[in-house]
Amino acid sequence: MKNNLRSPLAKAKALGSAGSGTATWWAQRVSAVALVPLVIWFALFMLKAIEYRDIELITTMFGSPFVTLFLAFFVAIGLYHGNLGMIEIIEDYVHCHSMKMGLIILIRFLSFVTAIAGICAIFVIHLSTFNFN
Amino acid sequence: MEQQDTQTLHKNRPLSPHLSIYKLQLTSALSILHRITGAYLYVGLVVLAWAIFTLVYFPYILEDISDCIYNYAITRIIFKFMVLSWTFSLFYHQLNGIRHLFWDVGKGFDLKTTYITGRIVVILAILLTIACWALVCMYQTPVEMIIIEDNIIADSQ
Repeated sequence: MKNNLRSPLAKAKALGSAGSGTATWWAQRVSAVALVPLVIWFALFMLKAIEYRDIELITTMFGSPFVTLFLAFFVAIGLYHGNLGMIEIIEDYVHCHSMKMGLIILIRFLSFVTAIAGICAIFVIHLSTFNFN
Repeated sequence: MEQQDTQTLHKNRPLSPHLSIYKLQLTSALSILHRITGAYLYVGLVVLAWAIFTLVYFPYILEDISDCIYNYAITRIIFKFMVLSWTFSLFYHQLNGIRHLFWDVGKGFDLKTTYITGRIVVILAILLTIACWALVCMYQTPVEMIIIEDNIIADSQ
């Protein structure tokens, strides 16, 4: 009965009653799938780094473009996924509207700035392994 | 007057999931733990990214911070507990996340499977955490023992 009242256009768009779609839900799942191998790699990377102990030795690991890119991806996608998750938590538990908006803006800003700072630093370590003569 | 009363009534009425009146079950406990570990992982990742940033641009500040942590027994224990719980959170969130992805494609929804996978996730997460920290302890002991032996030799000479 209810389904019959929906227009063909609404059915084709498949956006439901909220009207704004499921983009965030999808983004969260896709970043989750990307993080599955990245987290396994990160655990192995940290174990290797702890085995090396010495900061000079750990820096030599960043000579590999794969280590650099994987760590950059882990920080970027991890922060993106965490950003969406934290916003979901805030939306669920903070009921005061102005506080909710303030916290969401704060989390978005923090995630963005942290990702840029972290990725810049990772690439600086990568560049420091080159010999510029 | 009557309108005001209904307004306060509307404000004070309980919200839909009624979390406080339900008995905590494995499924709901794991669901809440997924959120808590997720938030904790986010905080840890932000700290990790800024730690790498500080290591590159202000290494002396990172040295001061690590000195501050390692000079006192309390901060040392708190730091170790935080890293240990972060490791557990990483493995738990990873495994439970895979469980969630299976649910998203519509598999493993019946009650029996949900309880079995829930138990597997918790046990595997604990085992992986123990395995990782056993490896870390194995890496660390020989080097520390060598340093202590060197110091003893240096003192005796």
